Amino acid sequence: MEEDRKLPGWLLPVAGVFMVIGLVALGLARGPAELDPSTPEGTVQLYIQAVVDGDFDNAASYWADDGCIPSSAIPTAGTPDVSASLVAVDGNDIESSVTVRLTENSQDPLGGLYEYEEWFTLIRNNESWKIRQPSWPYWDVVCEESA
Amino acid sequence: MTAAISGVLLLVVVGGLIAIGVKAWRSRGEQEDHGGLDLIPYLLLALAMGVAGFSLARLARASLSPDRFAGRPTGEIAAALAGLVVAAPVAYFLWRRQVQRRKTYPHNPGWPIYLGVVELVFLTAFFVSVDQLADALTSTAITPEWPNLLVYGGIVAFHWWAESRERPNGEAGELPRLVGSGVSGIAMTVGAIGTLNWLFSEAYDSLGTTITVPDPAMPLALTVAAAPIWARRWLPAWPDESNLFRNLYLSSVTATSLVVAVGATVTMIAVLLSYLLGQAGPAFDHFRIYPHALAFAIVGGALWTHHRRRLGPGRTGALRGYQYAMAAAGLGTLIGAAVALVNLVFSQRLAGSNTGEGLIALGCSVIAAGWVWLWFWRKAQAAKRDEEIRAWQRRVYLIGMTVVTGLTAAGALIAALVVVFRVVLGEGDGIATSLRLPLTLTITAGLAAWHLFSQIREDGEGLELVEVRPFTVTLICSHPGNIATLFPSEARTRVLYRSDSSGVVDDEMATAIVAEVGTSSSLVWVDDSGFRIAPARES
Repeated sequence: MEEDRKLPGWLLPVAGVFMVIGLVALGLARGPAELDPSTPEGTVQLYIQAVVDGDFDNAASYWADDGCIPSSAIPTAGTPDVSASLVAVDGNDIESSVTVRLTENSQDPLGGLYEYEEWFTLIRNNESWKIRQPSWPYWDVVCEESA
Repeated sequence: MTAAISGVLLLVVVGGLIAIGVKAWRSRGEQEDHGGLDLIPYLLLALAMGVAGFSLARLARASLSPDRFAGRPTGEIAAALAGLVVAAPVAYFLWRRQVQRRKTYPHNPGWPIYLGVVELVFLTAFFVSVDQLADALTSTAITPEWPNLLVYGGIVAFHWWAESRERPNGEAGELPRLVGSGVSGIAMTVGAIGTLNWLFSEAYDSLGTTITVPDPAMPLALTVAAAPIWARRWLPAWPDESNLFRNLYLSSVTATSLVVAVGATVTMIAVLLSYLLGQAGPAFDHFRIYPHALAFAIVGGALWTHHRRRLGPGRTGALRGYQYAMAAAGLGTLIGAAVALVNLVFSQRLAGSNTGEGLIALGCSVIAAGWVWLWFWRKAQAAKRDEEIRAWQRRVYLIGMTVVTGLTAAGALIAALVVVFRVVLGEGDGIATSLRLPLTLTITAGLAAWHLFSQIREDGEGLELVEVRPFTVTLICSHPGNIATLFPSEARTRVLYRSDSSGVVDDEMATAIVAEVGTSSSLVWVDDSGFRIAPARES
């Protein structure tokens, strides 16, 4: 019980509060990672950033021409309110798969958060990468396979 | 779906822990004088600690993960903050309150139960994080979620520190260490099996075969993380007194490790036999199970060797539990393997003959399961009868297995009768094929149920025969150990303490004294030369 006196009761909660404040400040202050745009993950980063910013024409410029492509550059549900983090990159010099964890904020205060993973398939196009058959966010897709 | 099942399983485990703790506490009959069970505040504290811990992990993940590449994590930070703002003050308030309560009621079982629940949840989360981190660092996955590791590890370490400052006591006092030993033991076992599997697969692959060599990163990381935690929680000396929870833990771990070792060995023998008997394809393909089976056999054998030694000298409760658990595993496997074997023997083959390997495997399983059951059942039968038939482990085995096998036999009989009545009513054909499985199961499970039921009846008659009158044992010793728990309930044990330390009753001596005293009132003198017994006047 003597040890109780060595550690004041307020020390732990105060340290905890400072730690939480530090974490919140760090999380809000940190900018996104700076990925090389010529890599698959960098392409996906630019694409998601464009979608989140509402710059849909820019986002559409990252689509590949073949496969099923959305009929409109504007997502059916509008601009998504998400944050994204990279989970995995897999593939080779011709085709690549990028897995992203998306956290979507609900408009309803009690709706909570939706966390899910999305997979982007990219194909090599000269010196850059293009997203094939974009499945996120939700588009009206015209499924016309180009020759 | 998986998350829901995991949640239900967690609830069952936590609920079971609490129920056992409550039962152990109530059996002491002291709750009225010791501030009650105090379980509700501890449950609320555990809940608040859980919400605060997982919210803190979420906040750390959102703020520290190195790979965020679009959007700001405001949603995650808001959700984590909301959880922390609600749960952290509640946890702090309840923590301080319970510190004061423990000063007044130091023997309250809520404290060890709380520590056990927290250790179960956060140590499991810690090992899951270790697994994920190893995967992220060595595979194509990029996100190393190390903040989880820090937060969960920190919470576990904090509770270990709290436990070291205020040692939990009472019957449930060993729960936190046992839970820690169990969780880290499982992680270490999974890691060790995976590591050995990788090593053996590499060796097998080097022989020129095309076997899939597993990735060693995750099992190696689990082994490295879990082994020191297991050593810290399990290896330090345990109190001399027998403990219900420790006995249950030891029995179940020893029995499970032996089942794993025997199962893997039988698999290897069956594979070898089928190869020698010409029932296999190319050797390299045929023996590709060996790296896996060898890993299971070695780890299972090592765990069994380690825990078997700790079951204690003499016929302790842990040893009884282990032997009856093995008898139950043997009997259950025997029934299942025998039914499968009979059905495979009489199944109609349309073409070819590819059942040889299956027949050999099932034959080996029947022999091994039968041997295991007979071996452990005979050991139980060879024990001193009047003590054995009172043991709750035997009752659990006999009654539990009678219910299981009896219900199985009844269900199979119903299925068989459905087939018979359909044929009688002029519907269905191929009665022999349809009846094979339910009839075999009815006969095997029915025979087992009959055997078990006969034993229950014999035990009942034995109990009436050995019904004893109350008797008194006066023990003159320095320390009685756990001898009072070994005497039948009719015994009244009195201890006269010697002033020196040369008359300590250890487990082995306690078993010998109980056997020699029998059911007669006695005086027992213990010194450094052993013990002496003299008859005493009946009280």
